Amino acid sequence: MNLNISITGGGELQKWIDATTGPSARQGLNLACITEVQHLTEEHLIEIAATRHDASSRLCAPPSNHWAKAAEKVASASAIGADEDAGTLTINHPGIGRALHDVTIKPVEAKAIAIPVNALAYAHRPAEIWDRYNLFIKRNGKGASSLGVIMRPGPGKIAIAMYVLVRSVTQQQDRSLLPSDAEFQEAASRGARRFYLVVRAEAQEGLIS
Amino acid sequence: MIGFSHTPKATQALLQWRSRSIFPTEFSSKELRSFSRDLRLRSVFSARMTNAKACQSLADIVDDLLSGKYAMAEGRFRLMKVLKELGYDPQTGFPQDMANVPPAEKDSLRDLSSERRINLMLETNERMAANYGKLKAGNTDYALHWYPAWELIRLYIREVPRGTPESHSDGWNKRWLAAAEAVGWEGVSAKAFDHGRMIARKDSPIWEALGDGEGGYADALHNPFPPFAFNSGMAWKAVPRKLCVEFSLIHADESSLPGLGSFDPTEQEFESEMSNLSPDLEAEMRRILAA
Repeated sequence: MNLNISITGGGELQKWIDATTGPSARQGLNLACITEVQHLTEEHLIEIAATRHDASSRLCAPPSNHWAKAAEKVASASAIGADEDAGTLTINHPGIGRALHDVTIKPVEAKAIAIPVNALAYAHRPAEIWDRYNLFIKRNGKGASSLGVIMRPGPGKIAIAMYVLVRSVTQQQDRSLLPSDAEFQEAASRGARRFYLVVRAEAQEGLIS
Repeated sequence: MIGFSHTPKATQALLQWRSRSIFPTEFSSKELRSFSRDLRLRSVFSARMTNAKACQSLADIVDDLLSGKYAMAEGRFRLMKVLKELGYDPQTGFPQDMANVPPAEKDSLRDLSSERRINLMLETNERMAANYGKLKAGNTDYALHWYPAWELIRLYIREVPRGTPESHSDGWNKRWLAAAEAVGWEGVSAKAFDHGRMIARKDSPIWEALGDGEGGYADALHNPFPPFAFNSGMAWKAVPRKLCVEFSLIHADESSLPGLGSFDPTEQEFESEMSNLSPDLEAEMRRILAA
């Protein structure tokens, strides 16, 4: 999933920059703003990567490091771009859209979504481990809340549940996956302040007329 | 004003990845390390992966991971499927393979189709592409002035991190110390290390030394950016200028930006700057910057 965060609206500041250095500096202003937004987002995701392991903890499974990867991608700022109109931070990561809205996951090449309920199944697709654990499906009758359960043979005649099968999963919006709007604004303002200082210093040094 | 959208965009990390050529090879990881960095950064390869289709699939899947199309489990499944379709067997390699590849023990790291090996191939390549982009982005004039150093932090949680008794290996603090001593602590904060932190200037040679496994570490990846070693969970975090001054990494008046050396834009300094403006412009600037 892809998410772009754009910062615009330094209109009056841009006018001042246009008068001081010319319109070409607008891009620098937007780059400064979005660079600060990027640092803020990276720090936020690093914090999330260190603390959010609900699913793996519940199953006593090793963490998938899903948000650690997001933190690294967002910092590879190459994720950022700026032109005269806006600065944009791009986050290409599965599940990041949840920061803005509910996300409903439906099966694409299968009939059901498999939700892991066992540590051995966590962060694995059933097909990956099907042969390894001799998995089999136990279907539920009509009216059941799930379509069935994928099991593995256990000791004696006991089977162990590995996944629950459902038609779709809806993950609720979680705005805390990203910094708040106010934090974004503050970071962008910091970038604008810093850029302003650069322009002023350059003007003082006679580097720009 | 802040806006959000879902319009697909290619990042620099992704573009850099797409510029690489596939390089099927029978070489081992040790032999591959002797290749130039330039060649390694321009190629998609994995030790003993002799089949071009497998190599292309690895490139495509890493591309998808960098694009955020799916997560690691799906990528791993897709590569396992391709290897199965190509008839890969850890004992005999790929069918009709003319290369002289020694047999691999099933499920070992040398078995291209093992979960551990596929995780390693995908995660290492994905992270190297992302951090190459981070290196580039961290070296703009703006980034060098306001964030002059990197801190080495644990980002990825590992079941058995380096340095724990079960790992039978040295931890990153020992590797850091070996690398710092090898470069004479040039651009490395001893003060930060005393506080249990691993911080060095972006232009410090310690990053090359860490990447080269200085201290005799054979698992190094020979890049001056994370991951510095196979299966490493350590990563970079940019360090703000103020902290770099506190840790004696830079002088307050040192800057890569012309005329900005003495500026550390604290609120107080910003206030002082504002007071130099005409009242009208000051009012206007305060309104804009507070927005």
